[in-house]
Amino acid sequence: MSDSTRTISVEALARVEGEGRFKVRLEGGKVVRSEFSIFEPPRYFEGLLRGRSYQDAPDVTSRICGICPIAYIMGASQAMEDALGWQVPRPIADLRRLIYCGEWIQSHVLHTHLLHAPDFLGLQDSIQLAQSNRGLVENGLAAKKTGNLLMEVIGGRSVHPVNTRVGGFYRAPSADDVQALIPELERGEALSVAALEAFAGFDFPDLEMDYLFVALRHETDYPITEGRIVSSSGLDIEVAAFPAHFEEHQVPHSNALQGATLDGEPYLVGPLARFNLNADRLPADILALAEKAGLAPGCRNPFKSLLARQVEVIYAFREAARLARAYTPPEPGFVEGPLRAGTGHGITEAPRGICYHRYEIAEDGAILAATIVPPTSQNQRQIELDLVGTVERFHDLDDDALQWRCEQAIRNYDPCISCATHFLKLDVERA
Amino acid sequence: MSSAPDSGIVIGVGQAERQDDGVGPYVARALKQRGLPAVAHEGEGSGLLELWQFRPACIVIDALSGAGPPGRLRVFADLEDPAFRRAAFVHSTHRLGLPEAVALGRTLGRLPDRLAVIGITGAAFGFGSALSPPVATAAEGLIETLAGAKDAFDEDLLAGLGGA
Repeated sequence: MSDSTRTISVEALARVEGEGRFKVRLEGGKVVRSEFSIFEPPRYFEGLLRGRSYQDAPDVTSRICGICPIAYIMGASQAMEDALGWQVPRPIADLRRLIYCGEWIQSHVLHTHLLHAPDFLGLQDSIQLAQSNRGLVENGLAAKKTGNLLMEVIGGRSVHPVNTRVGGFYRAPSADDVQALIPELERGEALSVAALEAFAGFDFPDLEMDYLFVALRHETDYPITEGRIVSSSGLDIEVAAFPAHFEEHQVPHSNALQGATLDGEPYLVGPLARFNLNADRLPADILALAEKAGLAPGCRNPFKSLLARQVEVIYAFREAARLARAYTPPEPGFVEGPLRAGTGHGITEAPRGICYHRYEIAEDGAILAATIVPPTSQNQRQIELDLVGTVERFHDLDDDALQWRCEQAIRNYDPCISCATHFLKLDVERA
Repeated sequence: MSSAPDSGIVIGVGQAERQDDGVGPYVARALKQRGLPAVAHEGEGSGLLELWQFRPACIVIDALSGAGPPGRLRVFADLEDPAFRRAAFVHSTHRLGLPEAVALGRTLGRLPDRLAVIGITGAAFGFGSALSPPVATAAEGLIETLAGAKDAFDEDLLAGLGGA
C-alpha cells in the first residue's frame, strides 16, 4: 500500500472528556500532513480562580479531573505554601505521598487493566477482556479497590477527597486506620507483580521514538510529590524555573494549548519519562522485575508505557506499605501561618506526568493570577508525533489494523480522550 | 459501606457541587436520614461494583441530561435494553461509568439479584449545590415514595415511578 494516498482521521469523539480529533494524510508511506486537535471549549479554571481565596485553589482545581484530583490538590497546595512561605513538616509530606500512592494505583490500574490491555489482545473493551481473561480483570479490580481504600482512609472519599487543604490535612487519620491497610497493600503488590508478568507476554509493536524525557527527580526517592525538574538532555532546574524553560502555545487547529520547550522542542512526560530518568531510584528488585518484563532503562518504545505504568503500580504499593508502617498521625494535620502577597510554584508527578501550578496572591490571600499546565497539554505535540511515527512505521497494515494501531498509540498516553474506546474512523483515499 | 451486604442498597450517583448532577447524592442522603440503606457515590464504575455486588437488590439514582422535561423520572429495570445505554446519563467517560459498570458486573457475575436505575432529567449542570426547582420537586417526591414504602425495592413500586 506504499503507493497509495490514505487519509486517516479520528472524527469528533463522542463520550469523551475532552473532545478531540486526529487527521493525517499519508502518501507513498510518508505522512505529508497531520493535525492532532482538541476542540473542547476551554473550561476557564484559571479565570475562575481569580479573586477567590488561596484556600479554594486545591478544591477548585481538583475538579479539572476525576481521575487525578490529588495531583491538582497537591500541586495547588504546594504552590500556595511556596507563595506564603509555609514549611510543611516531613510527617505531613509523607502523608501526602501516601495518599498520592493511592491515586497512582487507582489511575494506573484502571488504565493498564481495563483501558489499555484490551488493545494488545485484539479486544474491544474491558467487557470482552472480562469474558476472555476474567482473572486479569479481577486482578485489576482488586488492586484498584485497595487504591480506592487508601484514598478513602486518608482523603475521606475515593474520588475528589475532602480532607486535604493548603498546609496539609484537616484531620490526620488514626495510626490504626492507616496501618490496617498494610495487609491489603502487600496483597496489592503481589497482584501487581502477577499482572506485570501477564503484560510482559503481550506483543508490543516495534516502534522507537526520539524522545526528550522530562520528569521530577528526587535526591533519594522515586519522584511523586517532590523533586527538581530534569530532562534526558541534561536539564536540572528547580520547580520555580519551569516557566523559564517550558511554554504553552496556541496552534490554529486546537483549542488546547500545546506544550514545548522554549526552543520549540516537544517533550514527553509521564511513566516512561519518569522510569527512564529515575530507574535508579526504584528498589533493585522492582527494577529487576521491570527488566525481566522487557522494560529496561533507555526504553523508547511508547507502547511499553503499559509496562512502565504497571512497574509504578508495584512501586506505589511497596511505597504505600512502607509509609503506612512508619506512620504516626501528625498533630495537627496541617500547618498555617500569616498571609502575605507573593508568587508560588508547585509541581508533582500526576499519573500522566508533571503538572505545574503557579499562583500570584494578594496580601489578603486572594488569587490574582493562576497558571496550570497539565500533563496531557505538555504531551499533546508528542502524541501527534507518535501517531505520525506509528502511521509511517506500520503503513503497510490494512486500514482496520492501522486504525487499531493508531488508537493504541493514543492510549499509550492515557490522555483524557483515552476513555473513548475504539473511536477511530479511517478514511482511505487511494491514488 | 452503609449497610450489611445482605440488604438492598440505594446508591445516589453524581457530583453534589454540579447543580442537578447532585440529585442522586441528594436523594441518597435524605433516604439515609430516613433509615434506608443508602449511600452517595461519585459514579466510578469499579466502586459501584463493590457497593452492589452480592446484594439482593440495588437502586441507582442518577441524573439524566436531555431526556425530556426537567424533573422527569425514568426507571430502567431491564438494563440490557439499549434504551438504558442511550439514556445519556451524566457521567465521566474518563473512567468506567454506570453503563460500563453494569456490563462488566454482568460479565463477572457481580450484579445484585435485582438492579434498577432511576434517571432524573436535570435542567442545570453548572457550578453550585442547589437543585433546579423541577428537579428538587421530583427528588422530594421520590424520597417520600421510597422512604414511605413497605419495600423500597419492590419491582411494581419502581415500575410505577416512570417507565423507560
